[in-house]
Amino acid sequence: MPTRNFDTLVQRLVTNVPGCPFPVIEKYIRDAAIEVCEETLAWKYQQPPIRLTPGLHNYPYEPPNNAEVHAFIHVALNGTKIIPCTFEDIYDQYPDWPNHDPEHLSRPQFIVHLDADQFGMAPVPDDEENYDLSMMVALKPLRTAAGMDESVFDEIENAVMDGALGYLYMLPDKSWTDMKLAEFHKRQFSYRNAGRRARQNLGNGRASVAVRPRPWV
Amino acid sequence: MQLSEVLSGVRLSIQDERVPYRYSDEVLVGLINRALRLMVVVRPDLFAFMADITPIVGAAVQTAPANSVRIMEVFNVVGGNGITEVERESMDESYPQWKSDPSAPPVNWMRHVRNPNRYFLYPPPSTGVQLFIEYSRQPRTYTEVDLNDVTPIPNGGTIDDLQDAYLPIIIEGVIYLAESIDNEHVSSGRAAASQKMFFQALNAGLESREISDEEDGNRKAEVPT
Repeated sequence: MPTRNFDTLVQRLVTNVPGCPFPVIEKYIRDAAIEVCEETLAWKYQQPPIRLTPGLHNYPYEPPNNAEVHAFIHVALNGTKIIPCTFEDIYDQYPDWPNHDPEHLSRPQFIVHLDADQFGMAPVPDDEENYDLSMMVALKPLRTAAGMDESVFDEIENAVMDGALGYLYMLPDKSWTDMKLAEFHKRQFSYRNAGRRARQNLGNGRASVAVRPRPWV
Repeated sequence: MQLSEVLSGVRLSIQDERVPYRYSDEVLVGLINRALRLMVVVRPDLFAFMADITPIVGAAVQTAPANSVRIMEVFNVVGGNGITEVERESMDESYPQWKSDPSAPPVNWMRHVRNPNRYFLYPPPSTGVQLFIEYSRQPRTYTEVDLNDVTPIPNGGTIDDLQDAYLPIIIEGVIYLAESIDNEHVSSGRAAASQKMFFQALNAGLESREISDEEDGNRKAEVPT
């Protein structure tokens, strides 16, 4: 997975914000890239399978360097899909989670995103069999990252550019400050993000989105 | 422009062409040196000089060459990337650790607003980096010996950097200084007239840039708003 550094976009922006130091431009490129990744889930990553440990409820993600996990896209335990849920759902089902009595350990049914570095399994796994977890996650760059996956960055470059310019033009009392341009680029940012998000939802294909009514139960 | 041309122009204007002179060659060359220093303060751009320099490796704060009056521009890394001028204040606010970044070919430079011969580079330059810069060069101190030396630029009796068109201006500057010397030949009126002409001509040269240096010849200024 080749990496493209954020500073490769600086030259494209520098004429828009004359006098702005390159590290400042790079910082806002990174911020915008994080935002685009969060909103579009464009950076997908198949994590290496994780073998669960009996009695252990929380596990670290294993993202590539310079990235962290923003959301689950698909999770399977021994090949069977399991459901991402909220803390509230877990506590509703397992009030004593994660401190189960040993007899309440069993095959995990749910997964919860604890934070950007770790996730939790509920119920806490038992030792009846080996549990291998495979998951597709959506990544975003770390605040300290110098770059991100090249193909994803190429894909979201225009949205990142608008996002960075929106932030840069809003900085107060700089020679390049321009509130009108800030508004324009923020609108462009939202528009491009929506487009990217739609493309991601369609799997980058050309199929149309179908809406199917759900019956009342 | 030869030093001797300035000297003969001054002698003609102050009617000091017969030996023994009122002002010796030594005195007038000294006054030419003073007039040149006045000019470089008023119009540092007239003495602009471009050169390759080797910056201090690993240092964010750099010093201009020893003969610099003020740094004017840092263009590029020799054989490498261009260097863009940016605001130091923005750098300090948004990226305070910039001075400690690892050395590399610089991409940004910043002026030191209170010290015309200091400037900042980001990132601090690495070994082997050379910069192509422009600075206002301190005029040489000429001596009587240089009067008869017609070696081409940049040596001998040629006044470095200054264009021939500025010959009348420097002559006025020297007349102003010579006629201001407090002796029996002092001519306050002529000193005042030459002083006025000297500074006005220097400033007029600056104003004419709007016509000569702008793409539209400053026609925008003529359009009523």
